[in-house]
Order: sequence, then C-alpha cells, then structure tokens
Amino acid sequence: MPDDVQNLLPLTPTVFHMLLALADGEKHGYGIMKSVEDETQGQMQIRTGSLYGSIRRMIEGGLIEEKSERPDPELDDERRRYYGLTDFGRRVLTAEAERISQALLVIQKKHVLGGV
Amino acid sequence: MRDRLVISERIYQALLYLYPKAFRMIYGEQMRQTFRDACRATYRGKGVIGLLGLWMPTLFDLFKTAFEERTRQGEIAMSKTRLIGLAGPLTLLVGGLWLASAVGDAAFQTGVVRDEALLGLAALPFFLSFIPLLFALLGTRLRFQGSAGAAGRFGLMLSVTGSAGVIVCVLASILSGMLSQDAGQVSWLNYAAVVCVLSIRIGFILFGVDALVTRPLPRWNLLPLLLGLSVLLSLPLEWFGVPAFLPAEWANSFLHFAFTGVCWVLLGFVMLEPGRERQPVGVG
Repeated sequence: MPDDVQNLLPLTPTVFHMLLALADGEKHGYGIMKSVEDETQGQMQIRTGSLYGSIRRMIEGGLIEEKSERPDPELDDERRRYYGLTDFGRRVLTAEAERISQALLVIQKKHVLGGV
Repeated sequence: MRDRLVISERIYQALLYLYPKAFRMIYGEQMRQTFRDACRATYRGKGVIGLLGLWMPTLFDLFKTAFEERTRQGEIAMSKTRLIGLAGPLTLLVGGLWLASAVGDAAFQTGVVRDEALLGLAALPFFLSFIPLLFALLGTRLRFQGSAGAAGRFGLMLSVTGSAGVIVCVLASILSGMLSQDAGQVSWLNYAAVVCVLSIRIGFILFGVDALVTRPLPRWNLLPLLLGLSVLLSLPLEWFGVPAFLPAEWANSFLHFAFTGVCWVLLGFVMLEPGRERQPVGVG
C-alpha cells in the first residue's frame, strides 16, 4: 500500500469530494453520488460510470475499502456494497484539507474574494 | 411510471456489457442499483424530461468510462491516436450511408421501387450510420479537445451523446417491440430518439460556431455549422410546402439526406488531413 501522502496531492476534485463524502461515515454508491452533489450545491455531479471507475482506483490506491458490516441490514438491500475511508485515506484527506486551508488563508489575506 | 423505469433500467443493464467482464463482475450489479436509485429520484422530481436529462450525460459517461476500462485492461488495442486517425474514414462512411439513404428514400417516394418489403432495407443505411458516427465523433472530440473552444468541446460531447442515444433508442425500440404488443407504449422512445438526433445537430451548431472562431479544421471550417444547420433545410419546405420549381414532394427528404450526406463526406475528406492540434496542458 502506498504510504507517501504528499505524493498524491493535490487530489483531483472527484477524488477529494468522494473522500469528503465518506468522511462522516460509510456510504453506498448512490449515497456517495448524492452526498457529492448536495455538498457542492449541484456544481459537481458524478455519473455512475465515473463513480465506480473512481471507486476501483481508490480501492487500488488504498484510500477506501469495502465494508463488510452494514449500517442497518434490515432496512437495506443486502446486495448493496458500502465503502469507507481507510486510515491512509483519512490521512490523505486531512493533508488535502490542510493544503486547501492554507490556500484559503492566502485568499483571505489578499482579499481575493472582495471585502472578505 | 414503473414501465418507463423498468425499461430504463434494462437498457442500462444491457449497456453494462460494454465494460470488461472483470470490472462488470465486481461493479455491474452495484452500478445497476445506483443508476436505478438515480432514475427513481429523478423521475419523482422531474418526470420523463428529467429522466431524459439523466440519460444524456449518463450515456456519454458510460461510453467514455467503458472505453477507459477496456483500454486499461488491454482489451482494446485501439489507442486514442488510432481513434483520431479513424475519424476521417468513418465520417466518410457516414456520408456514404446518408447518400445511400437519400437514394433509397427517393426511390420509394418517386415510385421507382414499390415493394413494401424493401422499405426497411432502404432505411437501414440511415440507422446503421449512427454506429460509425459514434466512433467518428469520439475521434473528432479527441482530436480537437486541445484546439476547439469550450463551446466546441461541449458541442462535440453533446453530439457523441446524441449518437449513442440514437443507437440505444433503436435497440430499445426493437426490445420493447418484442416485449410489448402495445405499440403506443414505445412512443416515448421515438421522442427520445428525436431529442438525440437534435442533440447531434445542436452539438454541431455549437462546434460549428466555435470552429469559425478557433478554426480547428485544416480548412473549410464552415462545414460543421452547415452540418448542424442542414436540419433546418427541410423546415421551410415542411412549413410552407414544396415550391413549384422543385420536382415533387420527395424533394424535401431527398434534399435533407443528400445535403447532409455531402457535408459528412466533405468533413470526412477534411478530417483525413493531418492537423496541428495542440494538446491540453496538465490533463492526466
């Protein structure tokens, strides 16, 4: 498993938002898709093909993993697969968030957003 | 509602066969479920129009990612370079098929051929043309992704999606016709096919307008716009009737097919010429 967090930065917007969607808990494919759409106010919409292509790459990269336990087996289709962050994935997300936060500090300092 | 969603889901399930088997075995069922959830949510909120709106980008995404997965697994030897190289010959082929459609249609309209059984045969080149068109447009999109403007790139993406949509609609019509005895049940597929054909034209209008500014083709940069607008050629004849100096009623569709066919052929010739397209920086 790759262990050099910095080598993966900056993340692509798709990977970053998918990791962000999983930051508060495990989700199935549609849950990730919906979460990304909601959290970006509809600015980013991941289609099914891209979603599972990214899931495959992120599993291979050790960022996420399929979870064997289900949030509520009785209320859910047992064929659904849930995904969650790995420890490495969480460290990568944290590093990317710090990178963006630093950029945001510069943005605020230089008043790029106009009056902020 | 249920029928539309079930057909939608079945079409998507069938299209999943475009992905490599190994990928499909792991993610196929999940993709079907995810698409089903998206369809249900969209249909509840926005109805049939919303469903069509979901299908258009989904189709483009599906063809793109299936191609990527097959390339990644080494199942497709066709590189981007080869696909770009094939765009010209395939566009020529599309032109040829449209010209054949023009001749076939005129043969029936003028009564030269009267056998009803041959009517389907005459329409075949038109429907078949959408298969080479899909790959020709994919190659065109790849070739000009660095040299066309944002509107041109979006237009070509719309055209790729539209041609993929026509193929899906034709397949779905055949499938639905086999499954259902009620002909009215498949009428929405006809509307979807019209939307897809219009998407190809609108896409080419966008690409055409952009081409006049960015000039990505080696020459004849007006051609894409003419192709997009050729659908309008038949509208005045439809609305105001055929003028007396034109041979007969059949002139309408003949002119449309022939003019569009000639445009495709000319575009094909232009696409055979090597370009000096610049590639986008930092695209991985």
